[in-house]
Amino acid sequence: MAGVELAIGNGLLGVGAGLALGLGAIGTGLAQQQIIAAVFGAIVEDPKQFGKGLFFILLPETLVIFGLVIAIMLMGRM
Amino acid sequence: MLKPERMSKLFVVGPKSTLPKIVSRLHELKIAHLIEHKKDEFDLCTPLENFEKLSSLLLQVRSITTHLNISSDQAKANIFKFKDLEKEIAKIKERVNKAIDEIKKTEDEISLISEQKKALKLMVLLNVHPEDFQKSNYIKSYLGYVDDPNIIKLEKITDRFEIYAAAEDKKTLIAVFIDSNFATKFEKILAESSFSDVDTSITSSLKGDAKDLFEKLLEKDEKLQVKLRTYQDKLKKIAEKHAHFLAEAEKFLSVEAEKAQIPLSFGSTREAFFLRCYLPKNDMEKTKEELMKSGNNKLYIVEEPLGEEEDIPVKLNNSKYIQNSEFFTKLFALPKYGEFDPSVLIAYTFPLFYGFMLGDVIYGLVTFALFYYLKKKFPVGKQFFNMMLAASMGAIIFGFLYGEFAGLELYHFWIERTHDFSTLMMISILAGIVHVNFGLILGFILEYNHHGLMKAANSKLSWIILQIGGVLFLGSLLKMLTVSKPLFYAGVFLFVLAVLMLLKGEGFIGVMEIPSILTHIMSYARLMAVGLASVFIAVMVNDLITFLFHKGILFWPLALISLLIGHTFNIALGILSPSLHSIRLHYVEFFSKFYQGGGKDYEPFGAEKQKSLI
Repeated sequence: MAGVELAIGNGLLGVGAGLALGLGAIGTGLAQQQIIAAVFGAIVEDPKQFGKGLFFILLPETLVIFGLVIAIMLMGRM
Repeated sequence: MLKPERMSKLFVVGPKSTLPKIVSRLHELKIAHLIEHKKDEFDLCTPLENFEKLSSLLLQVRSITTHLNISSDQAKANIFKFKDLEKEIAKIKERVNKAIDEIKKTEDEISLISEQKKALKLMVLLNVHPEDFQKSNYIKSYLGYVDDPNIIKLEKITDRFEIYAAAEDKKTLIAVFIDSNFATKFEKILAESSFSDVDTSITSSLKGDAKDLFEKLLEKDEKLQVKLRTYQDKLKKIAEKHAHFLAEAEKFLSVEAEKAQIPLSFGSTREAFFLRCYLPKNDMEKTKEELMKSGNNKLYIVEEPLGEEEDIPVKLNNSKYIQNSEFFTKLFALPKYGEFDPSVLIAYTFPLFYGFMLGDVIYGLVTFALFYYLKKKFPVGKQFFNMMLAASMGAIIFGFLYGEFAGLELYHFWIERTHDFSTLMMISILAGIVHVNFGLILGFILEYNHHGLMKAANSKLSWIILQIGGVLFLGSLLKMLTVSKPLFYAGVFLFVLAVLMLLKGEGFIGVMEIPSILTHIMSYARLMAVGLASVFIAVMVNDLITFLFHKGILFWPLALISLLIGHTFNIALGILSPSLHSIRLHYVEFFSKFYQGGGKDYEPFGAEKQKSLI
């Protein structure tokens, strides 16, 4: 039975890792879609805003990277 | 190097008689960033006396060069006599205008003929003639298209009409002649059958058979085309013959007009003018001497102290390699005077981060070749491409360290990226700790210079104390590390101390921001994450190729295609992703510790603006 429990435990860890990464990616996407639309509006008005715009576009990418970090930490426990 | 060039402010007063000479000298020196004088008790200076003549001639030259498609960008600076220039330009202008008038006239005629041809062609189809459509009080005529001619039941209105119809495409072409008493009723029917009108007034001047007229117009059109080409050639010849002269004249005149206009930024009294300008401190003494010489020693020049709140223009002062990373600095914002110029830091950490992420010898070589080509092809983006070349070098070096060649790990030297996740993550986080704290130290120095030790300690040093306290206190609380009791309490003390300092230094917002230090450092995990994504895509592509290769010779073309598409795609990602993330780490995590930007560009009078991507 211990083997089965271990397998279930590992499976759940895998699901957790997947959720961490996937939900992080969805979060990033949701945030970026609005930011990118706004930034492009700003760049059309004033191309000098490109640098600052890029800064804001890249802000939410941290979410998916944290997701990946958590996923790797979970995988390490398998 | 870490700071922009030091500037000085000069105040120059002189008699108006020396003004032209001083303006010329300033323009030659290309060193003074002039400060515009705002009208106060002293009026603005007036432009040099030849300003109006110069600008009107410049306008004429520009209109000619636009017509002839001549650019003065590459023109050499030449010196002309104004009188000669005026005469020569008047001559060219007359010839150009004559040619242009003829071209316009001919083009108008050609377009009229083409319209007439269209109408005539329709009349030929219906076997009617232009004269039939002449205006008359008794008969009204119509020519045009309807969707369905069966709707038009003219018999119901009157029998005094004639109709011609011919099918064309999906529509029907009709010509109708009707007693003008019934015209209103008929037009109603036409409106219902979505009648689209063909203009017959343009052919009303023509007389005779439509078919003959059409042939005649064809001939006339050909003649006009020949005429048009002759005049266009003539214009081209004028352009070729005078291009050199015109470009140089335009350049000369625009420089002279700029000089003649600049006194508008100076202040003046009845007999004297005065100006203020910024210039690099190193060049000040020499500039003073030069100006004195040009003003026959009749000038009064004094250095004014720089104010604390003054918007002093910024001239970055970097060695040749580091000038390339100024691109990234400027893309974010030019530093303010007195701030650090982060270019020197980006110049080394950008390629380092990029290399750590991409880390593949083959990919690095490909991107190197690509950016080398782009640099030759688009010199405007030289700075950016040079940075990307350095970054590609970084990727090659890390590629050798990882032993990676297009995703294949040929030897094991340092880290095996497909397995040693935790080592990679540790290195990434370590890089984050070093980078973020380095930014905090820079911020501390800046605050110390501007607001003193207390403010600097409270708003910057507190973050470093917070990290040490946080690790000892929270780390052992979360059982991530074990420390002795006294160390734990020291941690608690440091943590609380840091929070109080932050509250004092940055207010409540500072305390709210406390978790950000953790997220900023953790954010460097992207150094690992982006790299892993790149490796695993490469490994997958390689697996697919091996699989196809072993399937037999029939699958080899497919293997080749997957090799090309897969790795090209991954290289494209490998350029985009690591460069964006590397620069983001600078902009978000690093700059936020010490950098604001928003400085004014140093634009010395007389210097040409350099072309760049931003």
